[in-house]
Amino acid sequence: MVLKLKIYNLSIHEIKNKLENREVKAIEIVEANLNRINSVENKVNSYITITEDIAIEKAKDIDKKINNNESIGVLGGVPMAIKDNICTEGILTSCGSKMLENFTPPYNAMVYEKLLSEGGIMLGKTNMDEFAMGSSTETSFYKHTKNPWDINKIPGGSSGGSAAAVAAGEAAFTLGSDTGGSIRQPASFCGLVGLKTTYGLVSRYGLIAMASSLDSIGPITRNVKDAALVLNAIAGYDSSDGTSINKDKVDYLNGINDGVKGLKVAIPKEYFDEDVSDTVKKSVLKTAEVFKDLGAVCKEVSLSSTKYVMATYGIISEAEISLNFARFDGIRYGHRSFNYKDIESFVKSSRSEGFGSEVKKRIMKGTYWLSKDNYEKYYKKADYTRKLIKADFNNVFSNYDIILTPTVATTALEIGTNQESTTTKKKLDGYVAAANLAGIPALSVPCDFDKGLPIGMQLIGRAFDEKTLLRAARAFEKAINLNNILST
Amino acid sequence: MNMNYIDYIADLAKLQLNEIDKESIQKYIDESLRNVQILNEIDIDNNIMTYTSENKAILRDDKIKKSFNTEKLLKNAGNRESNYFKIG
Amino acid sequence: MKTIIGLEIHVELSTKSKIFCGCKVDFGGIANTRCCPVCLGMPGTLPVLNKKVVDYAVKAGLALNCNIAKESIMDRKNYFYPDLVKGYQITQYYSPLCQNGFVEIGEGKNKKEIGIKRIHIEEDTGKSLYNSQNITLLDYNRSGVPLIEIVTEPDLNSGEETKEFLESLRDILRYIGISDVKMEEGSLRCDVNINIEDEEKKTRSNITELKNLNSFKAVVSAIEFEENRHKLLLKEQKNTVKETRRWDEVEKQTQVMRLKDTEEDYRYFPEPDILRVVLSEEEINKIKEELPELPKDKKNRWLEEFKLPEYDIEVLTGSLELASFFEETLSYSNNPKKVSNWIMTELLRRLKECDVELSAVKLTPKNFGKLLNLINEGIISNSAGKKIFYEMFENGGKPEQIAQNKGLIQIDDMDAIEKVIKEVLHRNPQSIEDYKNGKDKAFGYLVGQSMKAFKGKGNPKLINKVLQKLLN
Repeated sequence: MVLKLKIYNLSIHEIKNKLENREVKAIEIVEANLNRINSVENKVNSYITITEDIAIEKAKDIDKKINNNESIGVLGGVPMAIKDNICTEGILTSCGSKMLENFTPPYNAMVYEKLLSEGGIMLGKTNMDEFAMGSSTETSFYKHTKNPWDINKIPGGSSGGSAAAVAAGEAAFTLGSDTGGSIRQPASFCGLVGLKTTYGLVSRYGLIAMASSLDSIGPITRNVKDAALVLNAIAGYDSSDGTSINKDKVDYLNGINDGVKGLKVAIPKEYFDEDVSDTVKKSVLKTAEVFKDLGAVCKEVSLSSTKYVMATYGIISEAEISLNFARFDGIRYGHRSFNYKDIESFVKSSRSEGFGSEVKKRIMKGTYWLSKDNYEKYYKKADYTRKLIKADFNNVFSNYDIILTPTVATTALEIGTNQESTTTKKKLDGYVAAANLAGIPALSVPCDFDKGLPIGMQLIGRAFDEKTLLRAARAFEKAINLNNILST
Repeated sequence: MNMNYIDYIADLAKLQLNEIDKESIQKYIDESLRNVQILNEIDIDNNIMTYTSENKAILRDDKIKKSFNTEKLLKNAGNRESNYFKIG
Repeated sequence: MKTIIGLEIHVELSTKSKIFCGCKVDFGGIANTRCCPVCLGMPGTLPVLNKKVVDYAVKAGLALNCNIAKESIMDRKNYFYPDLVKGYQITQYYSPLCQNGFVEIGEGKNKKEIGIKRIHIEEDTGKSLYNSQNITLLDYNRSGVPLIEIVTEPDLNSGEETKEFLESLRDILRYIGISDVKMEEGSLRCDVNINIEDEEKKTRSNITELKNLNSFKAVVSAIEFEENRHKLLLKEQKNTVKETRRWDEVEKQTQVMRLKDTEEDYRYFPEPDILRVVLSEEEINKIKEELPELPKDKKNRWLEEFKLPEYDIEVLTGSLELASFFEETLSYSNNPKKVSNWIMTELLRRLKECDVELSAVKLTPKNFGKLLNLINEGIISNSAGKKIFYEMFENGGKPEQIAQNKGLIQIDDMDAIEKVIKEVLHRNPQSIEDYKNGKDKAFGYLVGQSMKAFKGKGNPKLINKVLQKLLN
């Protein structure tokens, strides 16, 4: 006998079906989610802000529209949560930092506007590493999010709250941001689908910037079709974002079940090095076998620029961070110090009191990379290497359609694991950062479990070719029929 | 990577750091410098303009937008005097 | 000893909206009422470049004989200041939009080219106001107003030359319509870099940067003061300190602002939020075609074509509007000196009296020209013409019509004239006597009496003619 899925574990498509068939009302869905949040939130700590009144208000509104046979949008009635670095007008947007603990933006991020106009029901803002700097959501000023699969383990980061919320049944989907893996890595640790979109596909307007040329917004969902649906809602040109690219609108659900016959899959050997655990390696190679069984062609390739990725990412992201964070001086918004004697000390105190140590560290490093002669010595070199990395991917894509790799070297680490060693950093971020440097899309899909902890495989694609990634992931998902819904 | 330079960087970044922070940052930078040595393998072509995107800017028309509510803009300020932001 | 001067000039562009957002560009007003999250640099906001700003900068570059970059990028200049909302200013450091131009000053043998090193676009900052209790108030209305920065080569050698250069530059920029260029209002700001070279002793003084110059006069005074200060120190085998000084208009001297010994570490960095600014050959040519004839070229052409005195030309080319008005009028009344006189005496005076701009006046060049023709042909008298002019200035209209309506058309029916003059002669037998006895004054008296009789509608030429005929 098949266990009936609880409402809060339903996928977006299942919710839409039930609403359409009038099997359930929007208010019931929202109440189920809010109750779920009430019962597990003190164990998981996914949320910084819960917007109960807004959610109930919107649910009632959706139900009214359904009764009047009015259109409710492609996400009508679906409960969602947004990472706390995406601006939501009138709602606290803290970026997980003390610096913005009282900041309510006077405007909405474009992605949030779009989700609202498509009927999404806002449950709240999710926890994150402070200003998205971290790989475990442990640098948040507010709380540490736990991995719902094992509350002694990290959920990943920096979109840890977003991932944990979906895994724990506290939201049907969330939005995260990905600068060097921050959507995909927590999605992998939490057994979810996480999509880093092509740079320029989704508007960054309203995303509190970490590294401007690397940041991307994307969905975290329970399955592949859900990710495609959310992508339909948020993708598209925005004239208020100067880096937004004007491309023809694509329906990402169209052809998603077409299978992978003849698809050419590249498997770069550098991504299966000694730092990747044996279980992860085995799982991802099993994935390759599944693709082969489904009619794809899988071959080993070499991405020789992989060894430069961490160093390049470090310099570029830190340099851009140091510049983006200069605007926080306590004058127009943000934490302000009472401990000062003149303007200079006001600014220094406000910044030093408001920022946590990881943020300060990265700002210092970034300032270092750009000061005096270092721009020529280091930054220019990193920027040039970035072009090489991009060219390396383009080279592979001239013969292959997608690239298959592990998302993370291991399953979720223990909370409190020291992340200072270069090896640990590489294990957490080393396999995801390249896609940000190249500006190309990458999707993490749950492929296996190890001792009850999820393992994710990563598919990387050509710029603006999310469709192929989603199609391949969908075929794989159907084939293995993995149960990634937490039953407790 | 000496302490004077750390102080210089901290001043540029307008951060006040205690001695412990400064020491650990010094360590981080030293470690980073070791990690980026690998980039020395690469010969860079100085003729390529250091700019990542190949796309060209889409410019906006010279149109005036409706004026934004001043109260909304001042709302998050810690200190204000009538319509001004204030320090001190 | 040679004085070496280079200038850094900031010009506020007269676009409708700011450089990166749709807020209005204007002067004055209540604080923070022309702002939005973008020009306040709020977290999550992004800059989008205003096309007109690029067009205006290219116009300036072409008018100043520069090469225009087909591809350029924006850069971040990083420093902290309360009026700089993002902690960096978006400017162009690595690839300015225009380079290697020049402006000609001087005449004949003294003609000289002042090199323009570069022109780039950037955003303006907000304004800080300080009050007595150590409190700083911030108004960001000006944050994000578009500027071009023009940097000259150190080719200027005196205060007077600098003034002439600034005047030429101002005229050119006004002509091409990209800015009001008013130093008093802040739409033109000039910083001066100056030092002295002693070619004999092969020494040179350290460069002083001069700021806070609010008028052309202040620029000249500050330069001359600095020239002397540098020369004196060099003579005493001493040297100036490399520093920034401000001009004190009251004390009539320069004073130290801050030391310029360490170069500020601006950490210039290509702006990731704005992609490459690309200009095609066609786009640049289109802008070139839209450029009006520049002041110097116009003046030279008028000298040759119209043979007007230089003073007239200076006045008439004072603004592109006035110059166009003049030339258009000529196409209806081809007498340059006459048109010039009328404009300089009547039109300019009336504009000043009524405190209006030429563009607001209802008088059109066509009707103005026609009016002058009527006067030249004797159909109306000069004084009638002035009356009609005032009418057209206020309310527009055609001169012939106004002349009819007001009954100002001079009588030139010979019989009618003869009749009236005969009557005048009849009333003034003594004058006829005096005239016949050689008193020329009497003739003038008779003309006056005739004019009176015609109530001003008499055609003086004809009156003269008839009188002559009748008296002789």
